[in-house]
Amino acid sequence: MEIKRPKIKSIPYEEFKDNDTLEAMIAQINKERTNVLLGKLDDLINWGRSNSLWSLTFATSCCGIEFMSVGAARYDFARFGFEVTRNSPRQADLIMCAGTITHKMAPVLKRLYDQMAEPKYVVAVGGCAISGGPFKDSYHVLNGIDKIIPVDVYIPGCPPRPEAILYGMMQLQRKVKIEKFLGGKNAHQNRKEIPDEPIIVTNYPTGEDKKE
Amino acid sequence: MTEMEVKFIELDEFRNAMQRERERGMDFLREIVGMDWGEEGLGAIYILENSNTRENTEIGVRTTEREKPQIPTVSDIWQVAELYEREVFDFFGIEFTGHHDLRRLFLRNDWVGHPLRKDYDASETLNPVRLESEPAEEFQREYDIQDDKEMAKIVEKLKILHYDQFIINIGPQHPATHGVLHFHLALEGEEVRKVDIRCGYIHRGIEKMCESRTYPQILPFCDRLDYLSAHQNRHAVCMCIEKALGLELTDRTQYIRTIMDELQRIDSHLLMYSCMAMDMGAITGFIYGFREREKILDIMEEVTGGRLIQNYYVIGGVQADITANFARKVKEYCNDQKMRIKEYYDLFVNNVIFRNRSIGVGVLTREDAISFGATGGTGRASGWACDVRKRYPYAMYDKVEFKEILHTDGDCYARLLVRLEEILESIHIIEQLIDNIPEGEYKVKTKPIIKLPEGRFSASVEGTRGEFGVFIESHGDKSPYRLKFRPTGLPLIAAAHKIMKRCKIADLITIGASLDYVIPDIDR
Amino acid sequence: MKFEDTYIGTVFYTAKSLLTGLKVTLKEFFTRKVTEQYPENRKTLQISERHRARLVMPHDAEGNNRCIACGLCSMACPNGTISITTKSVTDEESGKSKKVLVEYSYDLGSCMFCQLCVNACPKNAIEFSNEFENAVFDRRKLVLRLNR
Repeated sequence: MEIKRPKIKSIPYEEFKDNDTLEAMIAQINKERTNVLLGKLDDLINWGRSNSLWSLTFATSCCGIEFMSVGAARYDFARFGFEVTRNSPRQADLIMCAGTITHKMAPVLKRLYDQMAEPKYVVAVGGCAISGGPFKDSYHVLNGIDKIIPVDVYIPGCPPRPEAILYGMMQLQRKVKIEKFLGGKNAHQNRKEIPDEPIIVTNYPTGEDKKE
Repeated sequence: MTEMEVKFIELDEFRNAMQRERERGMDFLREIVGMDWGEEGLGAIYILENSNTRENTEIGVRTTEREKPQIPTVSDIWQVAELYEREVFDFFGIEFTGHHDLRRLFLRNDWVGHPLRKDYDASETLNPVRLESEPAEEFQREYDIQDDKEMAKIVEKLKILHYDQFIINIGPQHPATHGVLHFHLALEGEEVRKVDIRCGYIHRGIEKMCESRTYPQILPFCDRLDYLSAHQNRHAVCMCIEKALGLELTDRTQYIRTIMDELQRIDSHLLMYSCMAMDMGAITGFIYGFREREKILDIMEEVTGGRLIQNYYVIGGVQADITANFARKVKEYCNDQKMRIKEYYDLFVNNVIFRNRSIGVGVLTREDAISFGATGGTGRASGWACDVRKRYPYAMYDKVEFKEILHTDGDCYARLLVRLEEILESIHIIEQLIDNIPEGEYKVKTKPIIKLPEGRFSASVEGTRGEFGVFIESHGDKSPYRLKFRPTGLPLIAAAHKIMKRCKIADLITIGASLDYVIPDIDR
Repeated sequence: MKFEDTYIGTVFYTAKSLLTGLKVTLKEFFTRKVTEQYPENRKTLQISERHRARLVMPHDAEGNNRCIACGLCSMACPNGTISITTKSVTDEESGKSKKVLVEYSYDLGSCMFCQLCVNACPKNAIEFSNEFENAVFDRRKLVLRLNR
């Protein structure tokens, strides 16, 4: 199989940052050979998927306002196919984590990520999501979301410009285009063992009630 | 408004003293600052104001008990003290006797320790990142004084939300909560019976971090509190530090700061209008509001280099001078915006559907607004003249003329109208200043290491959502001993349960959008 | 009763307010669109010069920078984004030893663009540039070495 180079309109392949990671992934995929027909079908499916990635509305703090600006008229992200933002994680393709994640929000983020269906992607927008950002040495801030969920693209900035966010989304599109869809991405989530003992609730509340 | 004289009162006479203050007319409790004075004990400073005569008082109380510190509550005198005292309990562990619901406000309820105490143990093993949700809170925690008046006991007797009602959660991840806020509702049918608001999902511990940073290193945090009034927040902190040091600023700096503040105010009100339109379903309004906002962001980016987090004011002036075509661009923008406001009225505000959904919905009376301390557009829509630019003028506000917009209805429609009319007033202020910016230095020389003299200082400005204040207690070092920001959104959240009584869920969304809070400002 | 409180009156005023709104959107249909076609406009895009997207250390034609390894930027940074490795070099002629920069490490993933480092530098050795295209797949690629 020849080396596949994902093509994005209007930006040549050489001008993108971080091509080495992509080439390493392509080399990994090429080790498991596939036939021409499935390869072409993969290309078609990936073209459809990469041009229609719908994200979850998840914005915790300042980077959320830049996320809203990307959706507004001037830097429209509907031009790329990210037409709507889905409100429920079960209907979303990717989660764009824009903003700081604190200790209190970490279980919520993990639950949202678990509720998303495969194939799913995570984009860390802004310094806070990459590493804790300005609040790195706080007692209540998680230093980077890659401690709890796997991240696909990192977009640095505080906050990143809307064009920088669009550039990050185009990087994600390139990653989607090289994936092996049939038999690849779908089967990679580890399944956790479900315990056999049932969970018993013993502490029913017994206090008095106050009706409003 | 700077150096504060705090009167300390003994613990036994504290409650009577506070009742006397209230009868004297001090009806606005601006903030309760929890303090850990080390050897001298734990305590709090209460900053009160009379809304008619504008007189200020600061009262302090302290106790040397470190294991179980107790102070009588004032939450029946000023309604906002309910949430302020929960915050002080969360950060310092001080128990307020007589408070009827003393739970933690910002941290998880299985958190160990009280972070803002000076002997807090910040190790990772004590409070690791837990991936399970906190145990559900079912009960209010009330503290009663026993007969011997010495010890108070927790009496967990009243449920927060009643079981026969249908309990749902809105948030924390929700498109309509403007950030991460968790509404825990009890419904009966479609009507809301009780709202329990749980915040703290974006609590970043800024106040604790500021205690170990130098004064110039604190300024970048202020931009990120209420990011839509970034300039005003930095203005408050810079003003406080400059007055404490006795620095005189040049006129050019004051003009530039006033113009930038007003541009930021227009930007934030446009965003409030856009988000309110989006929440009610009119996405076209959102797109139009953001289109105008981009023009302001272009102007600000050319001068400051940032669109949202601007990093512009520094101690002694501004970071860089304004560019040559700043004045021309601002004038073009102001002329354009005056025509566009009429479009907003045609499209959204006079629309019959919006009027039916918002007139008479979510009424906040004037007495409640003062008791809750709900300043900003919300307070002015209820008839309370609370604009800091008129009460304690700063920068160039005493030299320009502008009206303070007041409405008396106090419903959601009035709150939106107040903000749209304030955009026109801000344009009026900018037009008076933009052609007369005097020449001069944009920054005054300061020492490389800034140390404030000993004492307590405070300053407030009119942020876009209310009165934003900062309180600094300094012991002469290059970092503050205690720094507290007065959140503009916490009084609005405190008032929410009263405003939202017996409204339907659709009205709850309208009320939330019209109150216009920004969650990182509440949680700091 | 006033006209607008009667049944026909409410229908009339309702229709009028909705049609006024529709008139605004119809007018917008014929105006010029404000959407900027990124990435097609990359060659002609004008970003403000003062925009802060990345810290750089400018080098002149021979490849020299102005950094004297004083460490003031690293001390001014609030969250430890900059870390400097230096070594002592003895000058042969005068016998004095001075510090020389070995590696200037800058973490783009945790920088908050507050300009405290640029303000602290006594020689203007570092400055912010406005190249914003920095998104990567691997976190380790965000820790940059600024000197050559």
